[in-house]
Amino acid sequence: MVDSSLAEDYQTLDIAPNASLLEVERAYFHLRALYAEGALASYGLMEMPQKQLRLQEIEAAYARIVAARRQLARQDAPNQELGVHAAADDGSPAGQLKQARLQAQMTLKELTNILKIGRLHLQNIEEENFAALPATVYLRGFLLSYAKALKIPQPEDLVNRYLARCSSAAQESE
Amino acid sequence: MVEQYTTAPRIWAMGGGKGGVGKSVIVTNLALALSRNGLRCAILDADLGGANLHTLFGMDAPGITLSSFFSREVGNLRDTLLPTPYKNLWLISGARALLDMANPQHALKEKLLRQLLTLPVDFLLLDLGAGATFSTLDFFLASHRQMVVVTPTPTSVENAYHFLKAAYFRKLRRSIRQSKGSATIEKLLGERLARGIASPRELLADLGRHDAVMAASISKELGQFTPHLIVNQVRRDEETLLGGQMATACRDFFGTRCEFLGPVWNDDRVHYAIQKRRQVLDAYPQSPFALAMERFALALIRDKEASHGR
Repeated sequence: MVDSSLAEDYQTLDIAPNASLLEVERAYFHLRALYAEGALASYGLMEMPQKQLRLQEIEAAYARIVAARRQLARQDAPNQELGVHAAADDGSPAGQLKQARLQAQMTLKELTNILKIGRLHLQNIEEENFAALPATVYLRGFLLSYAKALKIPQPEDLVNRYLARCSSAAQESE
Repeated sequence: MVEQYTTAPRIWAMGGGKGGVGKSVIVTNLALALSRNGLRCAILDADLGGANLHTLFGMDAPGITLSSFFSREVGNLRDTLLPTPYKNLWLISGARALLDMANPQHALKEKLLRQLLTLPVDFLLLDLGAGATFSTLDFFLASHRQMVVVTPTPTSVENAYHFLKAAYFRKLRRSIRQSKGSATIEKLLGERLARGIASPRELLADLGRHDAVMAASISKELGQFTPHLIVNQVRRDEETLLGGQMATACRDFFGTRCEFLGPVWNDDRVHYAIQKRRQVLDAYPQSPFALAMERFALALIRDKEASHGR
């Protein structure tokens, strides 16, 4: 279900109205980092008051979208806890991994320390940032240890689904 | 000897940025990557600050330059193509002539551009050097592919945005002139441009409320402004994110697509290759820098095919 009054807010975050909650969060953090005070990536592009205005727009858009999603989850699922978690899990293997990690109340940094896998790799895995992922032989190992560490049932199955998505994304980009 | 060629070369331009961010080394190595794939390539050294691409190729200071063509010392533009030590790769030293025409008339620039398009090569790479003079901007905007290199430093990022804004506004002014909108609108836009507007995206939205047809035609024209970003001399993991963030910032500010080609890790072998007066692709073919250049060349070619399909 898409709320049309939020169209402008989705545009502000530069995402589609049917974006998963994960994507909403990602876009929000990406933009916030971009216009933060002293951020390198927007240095010299616009004046400080303009950046602050932009930041306010981003914060407001994010707040409205999240509030609307919460409302929706409450309506859809009688069990509110479940509803919110279901929204974080968009069914993709990457979403499943992140959801399992969040349920275990573990930060990326903590997981990095346990698995001895770089935080950037883990982040890229969760964000399905396929182009930045290592070669399949390594990736398979990373995914398997990630899934096992979070006690996901049938980890090999998840790994295979993830790799399939990865290779079909690579084919699409060709 | 260079034989007859029927198709016009694709022009890729490297512009903006700051001195020392690696523009020239990236241009020469991209050209070498193309030429190694059997594509005929010429590089026009148009760095007004100091044309010295011949040094990067281990060649002597060239006797024949673009000036020789303007002064009719040589009859044909293709006679200014200097063979480099590499197969399928030529160099045109252009700096002196381009400096002499400092702010040349539009007609002369157009003429040179037409001539360049008759060169018997598949690709012509322009090394425009730092700075944002009108000449530089015009060559940049006339190219099929536009590249800007930054390093993860505030000075370099600021310079890159300065150049991109200058290029964008030059294109905007020109498309307003070409769209033959009403004089009042042109005046309105002229006033805003002179005052310095907050963001081009807002300007276009504002224009849309006055004249929707004109706004649509202008934003279509501006949609062709799709610079490719390269982040060079990356030293830390978090710096690899800079390119993606800058691409978003460009889209946010200009409202056009901006492609991030990828990060290039700082690599001492680039330094060693320059000292040897050889190309990195030749001296250290397996270095991360060389591999990145091969990847970028492929990405830029693929993009060409995509735009041909349109």
